[in-house]
Amino acid sequence: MAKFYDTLVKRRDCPPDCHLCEEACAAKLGSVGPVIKAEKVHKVPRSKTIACFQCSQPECMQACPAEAIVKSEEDGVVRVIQSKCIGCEACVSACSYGNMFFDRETRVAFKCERCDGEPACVKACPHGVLEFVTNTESIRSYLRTEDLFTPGVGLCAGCAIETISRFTGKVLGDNVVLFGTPGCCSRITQGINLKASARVPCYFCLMTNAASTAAGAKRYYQKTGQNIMVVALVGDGATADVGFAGLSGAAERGENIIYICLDNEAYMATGIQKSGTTPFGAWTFTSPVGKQRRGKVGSSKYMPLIMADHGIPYTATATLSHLEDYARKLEKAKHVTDGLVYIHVFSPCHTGWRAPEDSSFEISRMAVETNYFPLWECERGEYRLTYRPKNSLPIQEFTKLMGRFRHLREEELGQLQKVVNSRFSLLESLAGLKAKA
Amino acid sequence: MLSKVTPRVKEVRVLDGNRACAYALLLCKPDLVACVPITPMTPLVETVWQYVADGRLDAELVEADGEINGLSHAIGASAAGGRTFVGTSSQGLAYMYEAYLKASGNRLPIVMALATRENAAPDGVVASHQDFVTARDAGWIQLVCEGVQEILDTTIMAYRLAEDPEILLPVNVCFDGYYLSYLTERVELPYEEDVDAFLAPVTSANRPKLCLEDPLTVPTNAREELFCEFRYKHSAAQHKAKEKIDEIDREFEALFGRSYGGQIEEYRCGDADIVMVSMGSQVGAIREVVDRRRQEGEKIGLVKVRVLRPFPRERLVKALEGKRAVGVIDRNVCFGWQSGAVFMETKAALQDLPTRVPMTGFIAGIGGCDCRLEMVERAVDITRLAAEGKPHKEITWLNLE
Repeated sequence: MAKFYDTLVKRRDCPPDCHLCEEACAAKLGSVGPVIKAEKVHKVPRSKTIACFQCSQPECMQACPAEAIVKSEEDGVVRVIQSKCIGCEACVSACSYGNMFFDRETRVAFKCERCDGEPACVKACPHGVLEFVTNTESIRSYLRTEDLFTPGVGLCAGCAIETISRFTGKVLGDNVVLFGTPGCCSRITQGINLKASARVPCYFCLMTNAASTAAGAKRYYQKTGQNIMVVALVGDGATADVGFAGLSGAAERGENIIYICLDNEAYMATGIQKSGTTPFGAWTFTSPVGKQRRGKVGSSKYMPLIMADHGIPYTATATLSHLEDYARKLEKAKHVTDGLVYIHVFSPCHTGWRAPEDSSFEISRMAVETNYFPLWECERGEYRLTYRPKNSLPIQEFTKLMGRFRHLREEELGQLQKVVNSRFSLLESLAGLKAKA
Repeated sequence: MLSKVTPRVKEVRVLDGNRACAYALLLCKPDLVACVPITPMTPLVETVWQYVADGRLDAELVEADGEINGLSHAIGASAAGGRTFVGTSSQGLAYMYEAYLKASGNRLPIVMALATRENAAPDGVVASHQDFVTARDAGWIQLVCEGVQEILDTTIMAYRLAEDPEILLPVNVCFDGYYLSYLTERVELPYEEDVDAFLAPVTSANRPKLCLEDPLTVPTNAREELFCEFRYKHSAAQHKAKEKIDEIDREFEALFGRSYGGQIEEYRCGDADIVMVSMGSQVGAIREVVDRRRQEGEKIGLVKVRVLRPFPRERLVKALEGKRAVGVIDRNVCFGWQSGAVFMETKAALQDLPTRVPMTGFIAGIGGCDCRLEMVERAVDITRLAAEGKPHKEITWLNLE
């Protein structure tokens, strides 16, 4: 498998007239100019890599006739061996991203080399915009097995469900039988005709009975001494609405299944209709926007808290943007043998939410940073926030990323903010993080 | 192939239908039993629960939140390779209907007892056949019992049938709510080893299941010709079930000494010129009337239908060929035909005959009404009119007219 390296990433938006990162960079390099450009940082979308990408197949390295550019296998950084540089500028022309620079006085190329693991720009930024992400390798350590699913499943380009499912499978391992339901998730569990989309056994249920069907199989495996993990991959509609009774019953009876809800906050497979988890104000075809209607009326069911309140051994929330957090939670899920595990995964749907194809990670990150989708777990009655934003952002930072909220007026955004605040406040209380009144 | 043995009886007890069915489960040993209480089936599962509590039966018990989830546990366990049982009635069957369809389409050999009862509305917690008749085209095999001994025996035969590698379909064991589920009769209890021997051919049989050694995706999204193929094979299995039911009845008789005739029982039909047709507990009343009339010299017979699905077309046609009239007493309503379902289906079957056989239909015993002897007498009289070519009503609601 390819290695995962430390990465310089933009986390937040920054003021356009601030150049502190540039100043710190130039000062550190002692070069003619910085290799990070404030204007670029300002324009690049959040969660994107900044400055030189340290490409896996560097164009600069390929263009260099003097073998003066090398990529370290150890830290992934692409470096210019200045003593070897002949000053031909081929690398500058070769870099498609404009991340290679040339000092006309010293006649050598120079670039971002990540300041030996302690980027000066990150230290200098007062707005928390830049982050040097260093824990990515540890995510890999959670991956137990090859992908459980085949390539070519029929999901939209950029669909979070696919990424989440593939990751989930690799962490859980292949000692598993999967249960799926109709919905977008079905693309990953239900094959077509004589072709399966998974290399492990999959049973395709109804929207009304994923939890109970999975539980029945698990009961039989337990009775016959077969140690097989049973996992249900279910959408929000089948979880919060039509299959709720069965899920609730399974939780109450202590059925030992891992139930993962992939929440894209609507009935997406049937073409974007509201479900029990569609948030207040959101547009869908059945919560339309017009003169008489302003998107979803009323709030949504907060499923993870409802399930935790059943007193099950383990409940958790997770997102694409915090995969290590999710992996840790899946590890905990695997070790539960005496009851139901419920994991609620935020699954952005750019098609239904009206956002760009490549926005799933960014939307997930902002969902967490605005407390719209807090990351927490409840282990045998003990609640814990597994990630707390340093400075929570206002809900607009989340809603502005999607067209489904475009129509919301200030007071409506205010209502949504209230829902978010009170939910987060409740979680904080449960986690013992608030002083009693 | 069973070796020739002398049938033996372990014990004779007085049991109601629910408890007879529960006792059969003690002998058939399902891996998982799911239930939700529903009148008039509830004591069946309560008895099974007590068996497990007392250590007499080693089964997973699921007190489901709702019938669809109860059946779904059975679906999951059956898909994983286990033997399962579900009990319900009327509204419970209606609530689990979505999963009920899946069970047969996915060829899972689940056995489900139905203590038959009226469908709401009107809301009457009373006996009739409406529940399973309404669901008859969901693809399940539906066996119907006349008496309590038959319930115990049919439950055992149901597993033999469902799990047969040539069948692999779920089976309903239907018995009248109240009349059979709650009323007691004399029952001969078989030995556990004899039931083990009877079920041995299917207990050890292999079928596709969810296991790691041979991963399957069940079901996939089937399209076009493949979908048709699934349906065709399902239909073929229903057809095969007919002769299988007869075979199993013969095997049962050889081992246990009791036979029910297979798909149908022909009672005094040989030289009869009119024949009454029915299913369920009211067959007992019809039997009595047949015997009385025979004593008076009337040539009358009875065909007891033991299986509604698959419909015993061939045997029924053979039994009714050449008869001067056939009277069908239904404990259900087929709305489209303003008659009973067995009437309508028998009428269709008799199209196979070169000469038309006049038919009369009767609806009796619905809504908790009894099917009394005097009602059967009236039905016979009307059928006699049909045999003689005299004017008569085609369909009579015996409890109202």
